[in-house]
Amino acid sequence: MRGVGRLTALALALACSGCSGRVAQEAFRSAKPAGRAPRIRPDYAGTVLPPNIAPTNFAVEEPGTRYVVRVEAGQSALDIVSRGPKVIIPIGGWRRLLAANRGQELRFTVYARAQHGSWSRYEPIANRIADEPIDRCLVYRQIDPAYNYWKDIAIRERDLESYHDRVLLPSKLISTGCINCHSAPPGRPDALTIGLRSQEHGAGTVLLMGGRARKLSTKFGYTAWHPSRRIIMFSDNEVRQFFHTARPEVRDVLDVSSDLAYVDLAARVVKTQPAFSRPDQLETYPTWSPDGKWLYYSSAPCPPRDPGVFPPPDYATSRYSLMRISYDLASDAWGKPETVLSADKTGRSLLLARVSPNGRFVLFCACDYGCFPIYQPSSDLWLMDLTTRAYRRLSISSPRSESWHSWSSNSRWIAFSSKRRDGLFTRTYISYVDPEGRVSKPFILPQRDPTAYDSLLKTYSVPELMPASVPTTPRQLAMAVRAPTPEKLRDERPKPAAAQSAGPPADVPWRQAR
Amino acid sequence: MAKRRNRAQSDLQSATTNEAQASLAPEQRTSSGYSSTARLVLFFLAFGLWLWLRVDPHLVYEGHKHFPPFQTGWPFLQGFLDWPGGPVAYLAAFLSQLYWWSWAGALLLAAVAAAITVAADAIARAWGGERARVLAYGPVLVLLIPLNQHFADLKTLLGTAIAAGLAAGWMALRLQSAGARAALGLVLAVVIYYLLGGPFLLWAVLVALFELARARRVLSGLVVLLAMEAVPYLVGMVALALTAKDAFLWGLPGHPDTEPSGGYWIVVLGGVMALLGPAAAGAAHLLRRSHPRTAAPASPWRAALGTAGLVAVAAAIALTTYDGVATTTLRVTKLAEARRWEAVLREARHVPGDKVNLVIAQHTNRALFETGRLPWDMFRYPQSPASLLVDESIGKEAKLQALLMSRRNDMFFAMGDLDLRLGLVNEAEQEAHEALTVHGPHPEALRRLALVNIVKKQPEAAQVFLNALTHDLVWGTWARGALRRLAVDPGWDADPEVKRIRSVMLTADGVGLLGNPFEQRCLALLEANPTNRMAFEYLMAYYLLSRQLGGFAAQLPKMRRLNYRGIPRSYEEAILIYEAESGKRADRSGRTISSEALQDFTGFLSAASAAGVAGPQAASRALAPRFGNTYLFYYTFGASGVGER
Repeated sequence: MRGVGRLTALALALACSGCSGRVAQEAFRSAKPAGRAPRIRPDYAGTVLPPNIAPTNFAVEEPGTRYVVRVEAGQSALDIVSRGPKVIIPIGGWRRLLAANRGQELRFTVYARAQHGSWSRYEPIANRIADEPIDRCLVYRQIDPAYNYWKDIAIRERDLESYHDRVLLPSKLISTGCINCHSAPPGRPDALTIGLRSQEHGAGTVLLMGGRARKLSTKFGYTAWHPSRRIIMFSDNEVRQFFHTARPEVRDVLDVSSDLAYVDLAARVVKTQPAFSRPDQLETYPTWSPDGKWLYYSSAPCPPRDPGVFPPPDYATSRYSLMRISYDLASDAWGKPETVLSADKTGRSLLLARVSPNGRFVLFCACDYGCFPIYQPSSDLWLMDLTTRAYRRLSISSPRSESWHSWSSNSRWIAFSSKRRDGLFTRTYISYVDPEGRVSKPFILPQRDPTAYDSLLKTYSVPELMPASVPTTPRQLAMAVRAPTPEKLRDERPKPAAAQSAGPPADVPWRQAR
Repeated sequence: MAKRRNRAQSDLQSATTNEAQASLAPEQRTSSGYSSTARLVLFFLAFGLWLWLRVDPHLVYEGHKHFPPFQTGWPFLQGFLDWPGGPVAYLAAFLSQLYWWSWAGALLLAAVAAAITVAADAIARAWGGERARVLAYGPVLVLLIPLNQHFADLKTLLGTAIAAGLAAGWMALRLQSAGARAALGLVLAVVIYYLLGGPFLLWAVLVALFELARARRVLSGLVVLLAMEAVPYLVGMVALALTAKDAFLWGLPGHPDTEPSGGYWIVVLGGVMALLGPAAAGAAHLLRRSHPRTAAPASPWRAALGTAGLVAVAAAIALTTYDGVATTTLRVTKLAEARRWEAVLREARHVPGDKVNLVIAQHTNRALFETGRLPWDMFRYPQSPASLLVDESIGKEAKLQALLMSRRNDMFFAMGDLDLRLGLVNEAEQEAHEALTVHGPHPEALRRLALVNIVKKQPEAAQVFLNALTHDLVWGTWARGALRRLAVDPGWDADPEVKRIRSVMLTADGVGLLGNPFEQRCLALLEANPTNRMAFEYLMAYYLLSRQLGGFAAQLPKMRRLNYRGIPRSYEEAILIYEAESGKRADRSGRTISSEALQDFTGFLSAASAAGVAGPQAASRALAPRFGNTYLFYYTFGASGVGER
């Protein structure tokens, strides 16, 4: 009986494929050239694609009652027949095609059948398959475009080679606390930190390391793991939110105070240095060079201000310079801060520096002012070649906010957040970076349903490329968050700074709604 | 032990199948069945009619903050599949859309109530036989109370109905093997827990009680009793890592995701359901003792009398627990949403002064503005400094802050609408985003965000909200139309509402904290556009309500740009008070105070001085009939809308 069922299914499948084949043949045989490339959504045209990326399914925005799409590269081809405009590329054939044609051109040729039965053939859409793969996983935060309240937040992990997307930590497992600022050591996702802010579970940091997850009482802000994994650098920010009454982006953020500190995990101690915890400066967004000998960060002057006036009248003049300071792990010795690129020179606020794993480039955001590029429509991606110190605005930047970029471990890919589609919702984009720092046209993170972004009310925030899956479960992380007693680290920071982080659970400016 | 169990099971057999029926002839059994069915149909017909005509489920759809949004498609469904209770929440969200059509919502609620009653009937019979069926309507009489108060949490009701129905089904099971029953109980416990979440506990209580106390099946009873604790713990807390609150209480009153109002009565309902079986057994026992087994069946007249009695009790409960103010509040919200301003005022006029809440007051003032009567008639209605619902300055004290924020939580929709109309487009956007975060993809939030982005000439962002709205069962067609319109005209430049908002919206950017003082916001709006009549009238109303007549007088010259015919009545009274108190002359923009206003002012002063001898309260009572609808009275006694209408 079961055999009969299988045979029937096979016969049906063969019949369908035969039918599709006939439709495709008819399209190839009789189509007349449309004389132009088709409009497709998302825009997968003129880009460079990783050889291990999931199929870039798209919707054809041309009228038609039936569609045939030939996907070809080198000598390989894949035909897709679709009754609707959504083109869903079979994942197996796509993988084989990409793997066999690294470095080759990839073409999508779209055929559309009109109401009256005639076929049109559009000019092929050309992309290129890169030689180098992208890191397999992307860890990101999914959240509503939050103002004062939050409810459903999740740290998620997307497998870039498929569409598999799993939750690492949903906020509903921790009584709707706020979770943010996930960070992993470069190239090694077996460790992770996640910032936590919850009325019920307090403020702190979840540290995943050595297969164990635990909660630390110290709240890390923006976090950077030293390549040795012994030191975690973090910012300690007093963040305040305010609102604009008439510009397109309503939200804005200012750091009232901001210093850098670091945890020595071996000694279980929190320390800082006068060089990067100056009361007259705001230091933030730490990041390490791949050899661990330099700490890059952003720094802006913090003039004395009336604490009763917020935002301060001069908020729009606050600009951060890109700094670095040398570090010797063996002796725990710090050098003197030096300016890599000054805000005065560029007239921009330079934030979120990320050094490429090969140490050649530093990628950062440049916006008109302030410390929170995702709320600044003026925020663009800039690239500096560390061998020459030459820097430039990347032409892939859009008139809308670009931020939260991340390098793949082979330095050939960047993933970043951009609001280019609509000005409101951040989506993840991926670009190829060649050895000379030329950056290809970005493409949006592919989804199984090519129209998924059209109605998605959540944003993709802080996309971090990781070479492998994070070895944890929601349960493990949730249990760590809910641990009644967080692990205390010895805090050797001067008192005022220590008092800031040891205060009551911070619940300002964002509030949980439940 | 075995003997006792055999005896219990024999009792059970007689109670559930033979006992009552044996005493009735076949035609009598049929007649009894007909009469109980007729009673059920009649009762729930009346129940549904009451809900349709008086409670009006559409009001819940329009105005209730806990109303669940629903969207077609996998992404929305996906969010309901990974936690216990998700499936029933999804079903409830889907069925709740029927509330859009009041009759369909009433039909749905009546059907749920009828399902609970049928389950209760089966439970009563299983415990006490035919004689105990009289208790079957007990739960629904309790349920009537929260429904009367617009309890909107359908997932809790559905969960209760399904749990009770499955428990009743269990009691009718003919499976005799103790081991098989225990195994089935365990499997069902897991499945029902996944489907229902917290209401699973009701199923477990009903089944465990029945197995242990009625059927005397110790093994299956203990297994289900154990499952009541073990399944939420193992499935919810261990396997799914839920918190204890989420694992045990989700879908029940007391859980943060369950509607708080009416929750008490849902607990009572659960308690009544749990006690129903033992009560039925007790009642049957008493009846058996007082009437012999051969007692004649109820006559049709007696049955009719019973039905009438039941309806009378239900009617008494319905009438005494009906929350007229809540209904009016929701109705006013609905009418305001539909821009039926005259109807808003008609509704508001019938609300006693002490029952006017902030929602009614805010919509009333908005209706007065929209009908061009705010500066003339606002003191004909009850007012307080909070009546404009715009003074959102957040206190420093944490408790006050939480209170104000929770009020905002309820007011996102109304606040956003008001802000948008005033020209505070970014604030409206913020309110709508807060609503979206807190309440999910509610169609009103999505429409507001689409409109805001169209007004701000951000059609791509508007498209995202409209695309999301196409998945809404009620608003999907509207959204598809709006998208077509957007494709042709990305700015909606010809749309009157868009034009109107753009004409008053702020153009020069400023910054501020949440709850920037309302005065500052209005002044900024007037600076951007001196003909923003709404900003002017709301600002003046704010000054009048907070008795800041200096601020009021300072803004009077702005009347020149607004083409009033004469001086609006409440402004006349305020000018007279200001001039009398300060000794300064207000800038009347070249207009004169009417003789009626002068006459009333003089009359009020002399009446107040005469009545004032008896104390302020007595003076207030004495002056209210003649002056209770004036600003003079409000300024003096802090109340309005108390005069003769």
